[in-house]
Amino acid sequence: MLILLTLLVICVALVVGIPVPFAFGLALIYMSLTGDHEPAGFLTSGHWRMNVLVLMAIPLFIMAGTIMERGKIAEPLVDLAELFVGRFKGGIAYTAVGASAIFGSIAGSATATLTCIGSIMMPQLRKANYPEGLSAALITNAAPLGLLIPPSAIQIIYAWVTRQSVLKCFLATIVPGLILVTLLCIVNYVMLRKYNNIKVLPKSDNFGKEVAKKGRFAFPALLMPFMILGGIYGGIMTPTEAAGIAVVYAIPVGFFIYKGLNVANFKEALVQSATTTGVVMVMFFMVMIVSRLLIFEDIPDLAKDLIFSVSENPIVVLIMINVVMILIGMLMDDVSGVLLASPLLFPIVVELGVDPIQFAAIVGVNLGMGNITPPTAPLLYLGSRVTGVRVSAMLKPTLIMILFAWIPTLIITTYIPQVSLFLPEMFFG
Amino acid sequence: MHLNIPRPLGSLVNILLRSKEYILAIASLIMAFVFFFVVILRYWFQADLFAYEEWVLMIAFWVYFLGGAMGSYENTHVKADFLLSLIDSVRTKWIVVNCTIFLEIIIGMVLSYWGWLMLWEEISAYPDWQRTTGLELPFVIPKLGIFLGFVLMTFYTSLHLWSGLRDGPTEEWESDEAPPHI
Amino acid sequence: ATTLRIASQHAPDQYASEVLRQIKTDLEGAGVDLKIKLYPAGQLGSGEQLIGEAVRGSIDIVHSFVYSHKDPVLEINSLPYLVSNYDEMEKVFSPGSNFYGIFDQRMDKMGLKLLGVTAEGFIGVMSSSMPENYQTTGSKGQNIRVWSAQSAKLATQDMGYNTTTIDWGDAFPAIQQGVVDGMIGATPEAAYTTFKEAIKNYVPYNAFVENYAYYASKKTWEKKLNEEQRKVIAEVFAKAAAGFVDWSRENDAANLKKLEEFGVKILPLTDAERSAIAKEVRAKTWPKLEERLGKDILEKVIADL
Ligand code: NA
Ligand code: NA
Repeated sequence: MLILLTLLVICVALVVGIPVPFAFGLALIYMSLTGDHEPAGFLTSGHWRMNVLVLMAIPLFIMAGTIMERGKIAEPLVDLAELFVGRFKGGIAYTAVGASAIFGSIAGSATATLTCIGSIMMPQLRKANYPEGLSAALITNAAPLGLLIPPSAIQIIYAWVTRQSVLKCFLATIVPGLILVTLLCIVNYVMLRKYNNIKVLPKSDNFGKEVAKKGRFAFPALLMPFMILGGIYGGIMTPTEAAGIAVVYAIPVGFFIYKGLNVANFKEALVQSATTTGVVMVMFFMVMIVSRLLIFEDIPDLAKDLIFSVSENPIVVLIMINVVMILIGMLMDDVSGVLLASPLLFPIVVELGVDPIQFAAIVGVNLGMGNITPPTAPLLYLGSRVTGVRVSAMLKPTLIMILFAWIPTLIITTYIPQVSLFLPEMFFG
Repeated sequence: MHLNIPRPLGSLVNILLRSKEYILAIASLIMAFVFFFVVILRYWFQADLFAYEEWVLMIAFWVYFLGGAMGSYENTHVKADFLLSLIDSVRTKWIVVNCTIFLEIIIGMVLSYWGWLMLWEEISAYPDWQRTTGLELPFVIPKLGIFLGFVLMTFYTSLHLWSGLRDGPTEEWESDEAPPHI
Repeated sequence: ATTLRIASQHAPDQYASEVLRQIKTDLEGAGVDLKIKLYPAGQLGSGEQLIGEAVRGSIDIVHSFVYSHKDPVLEINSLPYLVSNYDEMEKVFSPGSNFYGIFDQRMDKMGLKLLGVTAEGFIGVMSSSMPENYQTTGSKGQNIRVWSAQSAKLATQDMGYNTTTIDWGDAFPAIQQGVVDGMIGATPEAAYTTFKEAIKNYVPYNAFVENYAYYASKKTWEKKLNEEQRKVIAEVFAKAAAGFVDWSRENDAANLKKLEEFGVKILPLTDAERSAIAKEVRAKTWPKLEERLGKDILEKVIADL
């Protein structure tokens, strides 16, 4: 009963517009008044939970993403991609999706991906007469690729909460991410068919020369994903160290090569990324304290009983688990979502015989989708702000993409284990 | 982002903000460069930065919580506020938002108090206070950051309430505190 | 009934978790009106955190490693070569030894009631390349991973290794990719379950004991429990703790054998060689830890041997 009322307090607080960390704070106050808990230990428990090095990868990837954005490190990547697909109808839109995937392979967060790619791509899409709502929706839907293509903050948190290998979890989401890329492009292709006045880039006279020129210019930027992923999977450095190296590399590249950084906006970028970090980590802190108390109150057993009382058929249970996660995703953002969903659902999933690494992919796809699913859709709102397109115009195409790209990806990831397990097994046996 | 706060306090808030920006910028750079040097040391000098995680995590906590305070100042904490998108009248929005901010302040005060309990538990154990095992750094350092973070979050939230009450349900207020989503 | 919350760090399939489930059965069946709720696998937090929670009384009983962040003297549980064979292990980790007495007293000062120390195997060194001079403290020509504690770092260096501090979770890829040549910090069981693919040989140095403790919150002990319940709890935990040395003896041997069958070479040490290394480390490393732990305390511990 205490558990259900606590969850109710959180939901009501969120719905009336109390920020996530304070909504969880209210839940704590409620629990301290009604349950057998000692409030003096609440914040200390949050400190212990977060006093781990691997979580520092999150602020560092946020920092890397912000510096790349301010340092104009993403533009040459976009230019290069455009060279290949810009000549086709819808090409600039596919460029946006591809650029999100590449940028996402460096940045740990969807927010950084969206801010950066959205602000570069939207003006170009507009210039080429692409429909506004559809384009803004596409850019927004592609942003969670930052979460699916490693490194990813969500996967670091998941691995840490459930004690799985971070590296395996990173690999698990790649194929689902690529499936999503493909499906998003197909949906976009179909939806663009009725628009006839979309401009395409002129065919380049000297394609090879252009590629060489733009490729050379993009080289320092392209080096980043190789350095980070190569460093992590070559066993040369931990994800946290790779994140630190990404920041240190991006600084001179942003200052001297792409010249987007100067002293003033560099400091701004640091403060901005520290603020984003603070927002994420304070939320993290509060959610951790509450979810620990919920474990204390036996929420995993309760959830298990509840779900198994409906059915013990694995297919049905997996559907229910996905529904629960979609609900969590509708209500909150990805970080608090993964924090709440993993301790809650992990024991059930393990009991069903689902591989914890596959579940990492299921959680990743699910919560990435939750980010753009209204009512609580932080990425949708951010996408609207970045592109200057009203949410109402983005809503219909977004729902179509959820229906025909996200949900199919989710079903594939849930019911075909090989999709997520193939890469981890290839790497780690 | 504007806050309608009378002058003497307003300037104080600004000074506080500037100094916090410098702390955050420098601390962020330290966080990144530590890991860079750890890798450099390991590969080029076969050397080891012993127990660096102990102090770098303490810096991290200050960044987390001062950053969180900046989030309160800038009003960027993650919200679900879809109730607001159902409301058309600025006046009704103004009432709802200020009520939720008021509730936030109460919550923030309780959290600050709990933060104080945590901090006091550390301080009162002196000289036998908790230290890290490698470099023997006292845990009071990150916990002070957590406590200050919650105090500042509450303080900035209060400024938003005050500013909102001074502004009244104007358009400028709406664009700052309750921007339309849909 | 009085409900007790027992938190532990071990995974549900480990021996220690099995013992804890037996403890639950024993306590609930003792007819003293106890009900036990187990929280395994670090569900309620890290070992450091559990200490604080137990002091506060929000968790009643804990089975975990005892960290020294509240009292540096507790670091005596990670003294290098505190013991070097199973007979010493049994003697030192049981009630009655000076070590146990100091531990008990220090825990009491913090607000915790020690119920037993559990020794879960000896720690050796494993590596992917062949060490030089492995039978002595001579230079090994290897750089190995140590965990982040002064005693581990100093002792490992005095044993003839270069050291790099790496987190447990990062140790496997670090060895596999050659970032380091090997590591100290795993029992034969951990070496077999987690590291066997990455290593070529294992030296059973017995340099440290993988040890944990059963302890209760003094708040629980004094206010929540009656005399009869206290007696039953003390007995049940003492009996459980006592069983660990024999289990270690067998489990270490069994896993060394499994490692060998898997293809990991066990570099043999005679008892005399091991004792010589132990003696040297105690003479060289312990004085460096004196300032932190106190000379009198080290002298008392030495007297146990
Ligand atoms: Na990523
Ligand atoms: Na959502």
